Amino acid sequence: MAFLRWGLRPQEGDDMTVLGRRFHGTPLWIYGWFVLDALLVLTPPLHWAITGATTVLGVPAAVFYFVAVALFVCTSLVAAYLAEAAAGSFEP
Amino acid sequence: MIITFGALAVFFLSIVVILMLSRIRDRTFSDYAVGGRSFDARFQAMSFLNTYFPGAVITAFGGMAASVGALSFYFVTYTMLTVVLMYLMAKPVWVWGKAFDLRTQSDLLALRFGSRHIRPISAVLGIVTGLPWLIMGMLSLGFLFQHLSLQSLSFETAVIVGVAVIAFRQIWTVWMGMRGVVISDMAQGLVAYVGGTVILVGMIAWMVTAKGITFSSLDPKMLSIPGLDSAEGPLFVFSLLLTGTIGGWCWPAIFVRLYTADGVRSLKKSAALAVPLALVFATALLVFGMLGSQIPGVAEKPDEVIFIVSLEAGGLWLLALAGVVVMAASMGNIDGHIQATGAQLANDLVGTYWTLDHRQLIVVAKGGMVVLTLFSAWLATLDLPALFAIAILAYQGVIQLAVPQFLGLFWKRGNAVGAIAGMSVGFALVIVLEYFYPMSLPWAYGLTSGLIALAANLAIYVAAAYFIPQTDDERERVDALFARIENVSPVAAEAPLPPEASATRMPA
Repeated sequence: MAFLRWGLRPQEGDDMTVLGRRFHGTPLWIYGWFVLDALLVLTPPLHWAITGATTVLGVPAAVFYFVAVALFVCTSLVAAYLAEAAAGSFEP
Repeated sequence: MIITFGALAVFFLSIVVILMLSRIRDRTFSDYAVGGRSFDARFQAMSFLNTYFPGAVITAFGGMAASVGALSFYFVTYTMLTVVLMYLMAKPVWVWGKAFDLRTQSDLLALRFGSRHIRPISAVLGIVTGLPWLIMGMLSLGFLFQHLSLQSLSFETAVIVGVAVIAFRQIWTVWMGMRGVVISDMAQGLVAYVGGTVILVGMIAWMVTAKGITFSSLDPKMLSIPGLDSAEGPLFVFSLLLTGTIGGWCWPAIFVRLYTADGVRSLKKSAALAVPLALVFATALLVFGMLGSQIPGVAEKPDEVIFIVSLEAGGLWLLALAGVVVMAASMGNIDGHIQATGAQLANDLVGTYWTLDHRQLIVVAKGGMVVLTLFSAWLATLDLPALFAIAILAYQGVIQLAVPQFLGLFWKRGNAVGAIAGMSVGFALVIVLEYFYPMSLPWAYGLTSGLIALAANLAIYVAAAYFIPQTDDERERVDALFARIENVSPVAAEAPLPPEASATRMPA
């Protein structure tokens, strides 16, 4: 709730772009990426779309989906840490 | 057998030597229970993996890939998403853990909800649901020892030998506590997941090149997953993914790893370090399992795919290495589980109602770990035909901890009444639903009993949050807790514990 209130209100005297804003030290766009992670993993119509024995690049569509989404989530976590470190979230 | 058991003995001795050289001396119960909050990101990453990917995962998910195929890959996906939850939880859990000297998952709930009664209730829920998995971990050693004996041991005898070996290993777990667990996790994890990945990829290459097995060789049924019109229900895959995602951090043995880090940065960095290795290892395991289904003998015994294929591909030496990988993964999970449960018995059950000093808490924890090891070892040697069903039921049960755990961390509303009532009703509902509809609910579109119960749990928690108003004191206390997260800079959080923040200051 605090996150939503914070995200929606204008930030006076704050010259940072939306991409530069942080919540609890974590850049806002990282939260956006995490939300996208959850949507890609947990949206049932995506699961229904990959049934059947069709293949993508020689790999079963279901396997391709599960691994590609896992790679997307994995990348978000690595990016989150690197972005927080670069933004100085772990500094005094 | 000299080669196979010899490799296992060398590995076992190596772990013992590493532990003996580490010269662990715990001065306080916090040292014993959470390793003095002293481990960097590399240790944290390997410690998480070694608890999260037990040997039973290699046999059970390798077997699932060999029997049902593509659906097993949901494991890779939810594993990644559960680490996102860890990333989000890292700061509040670690900051509160450090400030209030929290040692267990139940400690965190007691702190957040200002109730000491939630501590034993949540601890019992975690311990009871974890026991079947502990026994399953011991049983997976039965497969291991039977294959390493080249089938000269019966399965029953192999289980007894495996349980005896892993029970013997617990001498060092009981003695050295969490510090010993995390240090050994590093060595065991490198063998299990780095070495294991190399072996799995090698065996995949052998199956593709020497045997000509590819995805196109498989039965088309193995390439598909349950869809909109499936017998399992349209939400079956969603249920598997959601249950796995939120369940990962509900297990007390995994949750306690959030306290062992030396800071928030190490926790978050450990997530970034662990996920690429987890992705590669889990994908290799499942691809290996799917392709391995074409090797003769695997269809009849899919859970034993890693042993059957390694013997066929590389003879005794490769079988020995595969055995060491499974042993390394099993050790990490079983010792972590026993250590965390011992700490809960002392801290959350005995320590809630009796005032014990640090030395007494350590003694009670060690005693509890010995009893748990012997009790679960005894259960593992019994004929428990419904164990896998009980283990599935346990997963549906443990996710009931998710509501107070996650909402408690991110929402200032919510109170002890809602948390305790929600968890209790949720867990009871799981048992009732599983009793009347074992394994699946025909009217729930593929949702599991755990998710139905979770919805009821959530409704009770939210209703209590709105209908039972917080007192001014309670609101002030909760505000102060959250202010601590928002105001504390990472460096301040990692500074030494202030004197007023001992465990006795915890609202309980």
